[in-house]
Amino acid sequence: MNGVDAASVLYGLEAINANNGWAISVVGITIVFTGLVALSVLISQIHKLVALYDNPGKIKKLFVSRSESVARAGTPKAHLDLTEAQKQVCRQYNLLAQTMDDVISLPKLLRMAELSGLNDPHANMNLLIKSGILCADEQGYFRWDEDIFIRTIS
Amino acid sequence: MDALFLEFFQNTGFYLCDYRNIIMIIVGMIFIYLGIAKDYEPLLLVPIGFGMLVGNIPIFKGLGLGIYENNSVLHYLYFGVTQGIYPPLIFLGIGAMTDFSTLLARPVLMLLGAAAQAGIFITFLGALALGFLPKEAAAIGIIGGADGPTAIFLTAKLAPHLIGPIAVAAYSYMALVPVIQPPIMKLLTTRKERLIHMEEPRQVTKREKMIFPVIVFLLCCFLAPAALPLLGMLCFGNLLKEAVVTERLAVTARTALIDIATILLGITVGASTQGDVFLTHSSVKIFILGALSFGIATASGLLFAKFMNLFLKKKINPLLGAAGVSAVPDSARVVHIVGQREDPTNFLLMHAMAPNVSGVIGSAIAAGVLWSLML
Amino acid sequence: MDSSAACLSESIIFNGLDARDIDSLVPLFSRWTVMPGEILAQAGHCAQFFFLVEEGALLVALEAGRAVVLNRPGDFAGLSMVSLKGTNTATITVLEKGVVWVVPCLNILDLIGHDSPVAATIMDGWQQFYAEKAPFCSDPAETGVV
Repeated sequence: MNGVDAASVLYGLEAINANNGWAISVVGITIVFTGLVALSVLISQIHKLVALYDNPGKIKKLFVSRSESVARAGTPKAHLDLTEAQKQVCRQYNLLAQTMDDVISLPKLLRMAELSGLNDPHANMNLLIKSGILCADEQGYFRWDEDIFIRTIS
Repeated sequence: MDALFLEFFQNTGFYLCDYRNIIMIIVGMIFIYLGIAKDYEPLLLVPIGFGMLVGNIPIFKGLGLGIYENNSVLHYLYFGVTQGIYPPLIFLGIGAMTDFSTLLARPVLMLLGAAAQAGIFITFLGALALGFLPKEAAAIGIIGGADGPTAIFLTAKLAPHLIGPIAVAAYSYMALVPVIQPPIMKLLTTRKERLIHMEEPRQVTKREKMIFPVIVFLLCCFLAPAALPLLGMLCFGNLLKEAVVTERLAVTARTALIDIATILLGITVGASTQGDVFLTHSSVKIFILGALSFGIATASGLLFAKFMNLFLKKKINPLLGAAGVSAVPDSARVVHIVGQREDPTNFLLMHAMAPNVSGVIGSAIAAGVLWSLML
Repeated sequence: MDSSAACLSESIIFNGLDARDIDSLVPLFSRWTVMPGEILAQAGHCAQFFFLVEEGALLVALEAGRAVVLNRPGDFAGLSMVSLKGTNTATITVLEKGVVWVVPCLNILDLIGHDSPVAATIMDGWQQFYAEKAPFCSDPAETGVV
């Protein structure tokens, strides 16, 4: 309002219309929303990028033909609907996995499960592999996929 | 000799005093009281409050004492405000002390930070309707971002003559978050909604946290380049924190540097509220619009959270929407307290930090957008 | 699958062979039903059998804590993956109940020991399978297939 002749000052809707207020507001909030939505989509993928970086083999997999990848016999990632008892088993194995390094040795995990007195360690480990919670890397070790674990037990 | 005494007396504050100076000195003392006794944002209210005392000592113009006199020390310090130097330095410190883990764990909560920015643009319209010029209206609207440095930065760029009232309004309302937000939160949510427990966020790796500031910076600054000074420093500070190897720089940014910038900004913004300059009809309107802006921002966040719940399988507690205003971490803390009043076992603080820090990013983008639209 | 022929045809190792060659392999394989926890081969012991998976899952525990899970029809726990110079180098444990086709090591080693198109086809398939299943191992040729 500084330096503006009081008589020329507009008020109300007239002022908003004259100063293109509606358009500025709509454009403004749209840009803010677009920016943050794009950002949220992007950061929701960061952990996948990190996983790719940790597992360069996965990048290679993207370029091999479908038939090859089918034949590759990797660990299936299909989401399984587990029973409550199976979910409990997953939680138990999660505790065991937390005591291990980022990369998990499957024979070692199996041995620990046996030593801990967990029931049916072989079948349950197979369940973890089938559900994709335990997934193989290219080095002969396995990783605990926290995302799939949470999705599976929730 | 009498003439000498008279001349001296005429140069004292007692003689030069104006009722407006007295009002501002009282306001300054209230700020100091609120900061010290009530613990409302003491790191901001105490410097600003004391700055109000400094700025409202009646002085003889021409001695180079006042903040608006070109050759005064205060004027030089105020340069950092008018040229928008302090806000980016404060953002550097904020970046170096903020943990974005919860945001990375649940990126969808970022939308709440975006929704709360609606307050900025609605207030912009309100300010236009009250007769402010577009640049002034944009500067007033940013109060709704509840982000003091951003408000000062944008005002310095668009309407430098309003820095005093806008900065004081922004910081006052930020300090009053525990008073302003709870009634709105209760009004717009049901008890059942306030009882909603949030699911445990996933663990976020260090590497994700390191990549995050780089991605935020690149995406947001490509989208709204005018947000560069604020977001650039915020992300840089955060990278220093997460990179580990730069821990020494991060420590400086989040301790000494941010403290120095806050002291200088607080005292000079306070000192800029000289009664004769500050107590105008415009300031009163700015305070009313500021309160409105804050309320709308809080309500927008809450309502958007309820809207999201229409589509989400796992419902979120709509109180989190109120944390979309970027008063970090006060609004997150208020959300937690309001949630705990309904159910002491409901811990919302960690979850509320996600919309809270996204509000910081959102208000910086909004400031950049408004700046570029007003050029 | 009633005979090993179907399983052999599904295996990346053997599916390069023509039907007549596959038929000639069928008598070498016998069908075992395996249960979880069952150990089919123990590292350090004398190598006796190789295993072709029809159903279920096998855990092949290699050195240094590494492991491969064979859980697709046609996966083959054999050759350099599990043995070296007549001795098992891996422990094979059953993870999931299923059916495996068992073949004596010597029969397979005899077959690929001759310079023949069948041997060449099997070795090609094996190298492909091995590179996919256990890419962390060095060139199978160097690990001593036999």
